[in-house]
Amino acid sequence: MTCAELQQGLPEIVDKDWSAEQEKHLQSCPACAGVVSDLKLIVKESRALQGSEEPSIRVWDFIQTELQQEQEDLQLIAQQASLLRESDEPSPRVWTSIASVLHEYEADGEVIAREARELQGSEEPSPRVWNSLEIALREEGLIRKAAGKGSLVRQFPRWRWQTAWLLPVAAGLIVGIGFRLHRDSAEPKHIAVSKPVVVLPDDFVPKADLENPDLDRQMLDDVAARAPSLRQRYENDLHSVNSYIRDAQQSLRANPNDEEAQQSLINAVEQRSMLYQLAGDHSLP
Amino acid sequence: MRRRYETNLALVVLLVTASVAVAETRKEFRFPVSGKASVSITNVYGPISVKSAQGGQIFVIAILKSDKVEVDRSQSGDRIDLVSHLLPGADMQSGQVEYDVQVPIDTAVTLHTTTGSLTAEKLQGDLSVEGAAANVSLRDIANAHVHVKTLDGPITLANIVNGHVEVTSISGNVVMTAVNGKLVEVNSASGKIRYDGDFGYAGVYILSSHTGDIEATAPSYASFDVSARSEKGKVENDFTLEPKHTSFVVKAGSAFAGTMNKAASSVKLFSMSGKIHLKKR
Repeated sequence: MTCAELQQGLPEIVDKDWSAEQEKHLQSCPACAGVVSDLKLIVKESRALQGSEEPSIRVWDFIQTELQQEQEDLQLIAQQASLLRESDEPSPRVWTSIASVLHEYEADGEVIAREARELQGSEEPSPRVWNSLEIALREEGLIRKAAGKGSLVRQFPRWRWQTAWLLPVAAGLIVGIGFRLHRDSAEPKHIAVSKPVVVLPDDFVPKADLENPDLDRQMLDDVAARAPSLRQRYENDLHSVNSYIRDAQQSLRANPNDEEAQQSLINAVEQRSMLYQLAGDHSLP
Repeated sequence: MRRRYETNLALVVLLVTASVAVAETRKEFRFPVSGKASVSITNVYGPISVKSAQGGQIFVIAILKSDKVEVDRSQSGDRIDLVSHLLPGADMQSGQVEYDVQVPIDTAVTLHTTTGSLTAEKLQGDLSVEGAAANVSLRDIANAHVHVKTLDGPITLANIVNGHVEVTSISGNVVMTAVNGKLVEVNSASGKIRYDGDFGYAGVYILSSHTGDIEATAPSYASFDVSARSEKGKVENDFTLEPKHTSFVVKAGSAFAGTMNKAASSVKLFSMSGKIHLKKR
């Protein structure tokens, strides 16, 4: 037997009984004997290694169970995502978040209104009183024309009153931001659903009421008091903006996942915010 | 008889003009500045005009139409504030102040008025302009944030390069000529929006309205990616666009989308019921 003939079948026979011919060759050939010896060592070590690192059957069972569970979860997620894609309505989480933000702002509004009432009832004279004082003092000649100084009229109380208008606008902006966030998070192509989808009733309507006739009237009255000639312009523009908001809301209800409709509502609310801001601006007389 | 009447009339006109001229007061203010300055002007009635000029100072000419208005001014370092202060009895006429302001080119400028015109030109500092019924005209502005808000005042922007432009108007028309930058966003309710330019490079252009028409004109070499849609208005397009994917259904006459050349800039035109026309120059 030659070395090549012996080594050809070595992997299969290294762990088994040798034939007499093979035994004879190994005794006469130190090279083959060395190879066989190394092979036996490798086999022995690998068995020891296998015994120590191989997870138990229990582990394999556990892994298999987990995999099955994952597969079932994935199927559920896919099913939910599919349902959500088919649904036209944004998830209730969005509406809930909007509603809670609005509630917070309503609460803040009440606090500010109460503070405003307290301020009104406090001993601090109103801006009109300061203004009358200033006029009277000027007429009496007790004060001269201010040279580079501001009016005696204290500005801050007016500002406080004006901020009350901004609350619903701020609330509106929050709604807008909510829609924007929702749009970013609820992109159907990249949606990752982790909770079951709740099917909303057909008559569900968002509670985000972005119009407030009382506040509008208050704002217009104040504009009229400060700049009568501008009242009509403000009223016309307020009408335009409110109409914009209504149309945008309607469009969004029809297509809740429509990005342009969402953006339109945000734009309309921003316009309303700007109108209130300009109405309260100190550039008005 | 007629001759006597004309003479009397001329006399009255002369007297009125003279009394007005006498009541007007011209004031000049100089504010030395060392670094990048900012100036804020609040004018209840009357125009404000701002231009760039050489020199490390802000130079203000204020023409007060009567003694029923004053100019309050303050300087804190490189920050200057000017406010028209109405005195008792002031009205739309007697409360007017005309401001003519010269500033270093990189000055940040904030302008407020109710009814006057607001103009700014040849500036490279940020601009914030607000006015309920103000006519706004801004031209030759570079590398600046440009924010404009009006209720019904018309807005004209011309030659604004590398700007970050945000315009909000309820019923004022917005006209933009050669305006480009990383962001050009116009939000209008009933005012018309007109854009004439090439949409620059790598910018985002968003023109949106409620009922106002939107017209954008660009040359054939312009490179942009456009989506346009009007929910109830008519939509027209003069360009031959490469089709592209959109989030809405592309329907002839009410929406279109596509790319032109390398699609360097993004253009979004959206109206709820206004017409949209993308015109080729």
